[in-house]
Amino acid sequence: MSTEARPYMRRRRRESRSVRYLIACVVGIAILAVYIFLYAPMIITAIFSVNSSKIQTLPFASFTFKWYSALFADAPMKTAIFYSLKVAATAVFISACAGLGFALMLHRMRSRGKGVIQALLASPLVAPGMVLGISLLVNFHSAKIGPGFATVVAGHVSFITPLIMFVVLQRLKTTDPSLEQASMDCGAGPLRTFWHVTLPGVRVALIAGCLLGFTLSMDEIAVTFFLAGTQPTLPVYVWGLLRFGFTPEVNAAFTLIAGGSLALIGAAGLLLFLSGRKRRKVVQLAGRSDAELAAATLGAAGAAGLAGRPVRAGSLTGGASS
Amino acid sequence: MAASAARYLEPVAALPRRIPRPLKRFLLVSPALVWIVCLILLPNAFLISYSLWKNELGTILHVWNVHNYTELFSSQVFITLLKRTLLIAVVSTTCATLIAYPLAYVVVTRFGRYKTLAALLIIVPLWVSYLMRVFAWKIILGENGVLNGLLKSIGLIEKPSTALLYSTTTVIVTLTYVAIPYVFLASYTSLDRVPKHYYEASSDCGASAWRTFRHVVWPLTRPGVAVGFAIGFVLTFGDYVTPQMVGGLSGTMLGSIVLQSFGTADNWPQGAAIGVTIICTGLIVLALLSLFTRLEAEIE
Repeated sequence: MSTEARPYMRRRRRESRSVRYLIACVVGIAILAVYIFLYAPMIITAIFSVNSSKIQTLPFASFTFKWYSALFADAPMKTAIFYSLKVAATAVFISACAGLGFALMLHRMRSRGKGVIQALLASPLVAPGMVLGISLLVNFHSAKIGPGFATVVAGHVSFITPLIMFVVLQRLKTTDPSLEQASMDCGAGPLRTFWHVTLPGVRVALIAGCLLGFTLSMDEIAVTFFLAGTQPTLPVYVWGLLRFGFTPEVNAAFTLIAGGSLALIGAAGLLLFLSGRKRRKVVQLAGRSDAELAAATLGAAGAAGLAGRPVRAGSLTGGASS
Repeated sequence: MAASAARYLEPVAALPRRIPRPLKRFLLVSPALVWIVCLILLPNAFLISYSLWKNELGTILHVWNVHNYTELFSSQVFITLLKRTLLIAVVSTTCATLIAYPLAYVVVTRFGRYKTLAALLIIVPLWVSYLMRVFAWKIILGENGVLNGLLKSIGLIEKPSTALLYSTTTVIVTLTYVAIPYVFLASYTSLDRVPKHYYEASSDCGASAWRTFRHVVWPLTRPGVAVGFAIGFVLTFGDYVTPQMVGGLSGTMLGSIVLQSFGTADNWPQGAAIGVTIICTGLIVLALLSLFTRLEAEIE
């Protein structure tokens, strides 16, 4: 035993302490650099939204809120904001109903078509926005539906539904099927069981999914651009502003949107985290901590849980299979 | 009493017994099928058929031909753009993978109980307005931008450099930035699935950290990385917001002409043909990736 262990020990000793510290330092700085790289753009936009100079450059001129007040004095901008809110609310409502239904359906399906259906439903989430946008545009054009509120909502629904579906599916995986069976045994019909047992079980996930979907809808530009008619949503309106010349108002608008998004994501994450913790006391969830579960759900929403599957159906051997 | 006894074995979503089983199953799935047909299959079918129709001064004639494709592939401009778009997408996704995978590895192996927080912090930018994140790069890299101001105040450059914005490199940097969270997410989930005792077993057998990575961790996580790469590639390949925003003339990508065809140029069939080309390229890359990343081992 000792003879086998020796080369291993020797190799370990060769890395002296200072070298290890050096490596740790370099790795730490590199990681910090990535985080800065990821967050710098947002922080800089936020900083410039309170910079009084009209030119976006350092050094910082002086602190002001005038871009925010200009933003709220801008009538088309306000219209765009309310239109965006309306679109988001409608799209999220439809998606919540459809997403919940599809999640329950997929959860119960045992046949071979399940993977295909899941992948097809998820495909709008991983397809580039432009492809989704133009394909829906020609679709509606063929159906003689002009671009407008309905088309924008349909576009948003097509990618928010799979999002909500995956968040709910993630939660359904950890629910105990015997609860529903017990409810049926006690004589409750399918509707009553759904209302009193199934729905409360996935309620938190559903709400979290809706919050995530809402931020997605408020931010979406690639699909919306093709489907918006004469009335632009907020991102489309801002995009137009940016193309025809720039006002620092845009920074203020972006900062508000980003702040709103972060608040909604935070709320969604917190909901999932807390409910995951409560749930764990009831259902034993081997090996997965609450935070991990929340992250997995958020993440699933982001891409991986989803992404693993559609790509797999595209015959890429399952990276995200477990 | 008998009725409730008969009911108890049925699944919750069961419809009354009278309906035969296969039909019942079909009825359960049918809303999803309608959905898929209306929002996914039909749009794509129409996209393909539009690309095969003829355009005459903005009106679409329903004459089937492949003229749009032959015109595209004989046009030097299109070929140049296609090559450039491929290059930009591959380079930026590769950069993103080279940054995100090691990062995910360190986060999973070294961050202990904080790894979820660290991972979330990387994913969160995904949820913040895409337009905002791309636009911010314009502020950073512009002629009077933050980076130029910084370099000038340090004394590295005399005059503000104009080379930073509106070039292929700018687009690559921005798209790398966009792709990092996606690749990270895929890498992280696959790395996180490798059980801790695999590392321990490998190191007990005398393997160094590098050998453990090379022979244990990498083979297990390679498919996850491939998935991340595929998503990153598809998203960057079909993007039009970034090239429009920071690309300028030398950073134009395929997405920009699709935008033109559906907008000012009013040539829908041509735009549809480019769209179909983009979809096909994405599928080809997926197929190639799946060829090269056969799973060698699986985690139980």
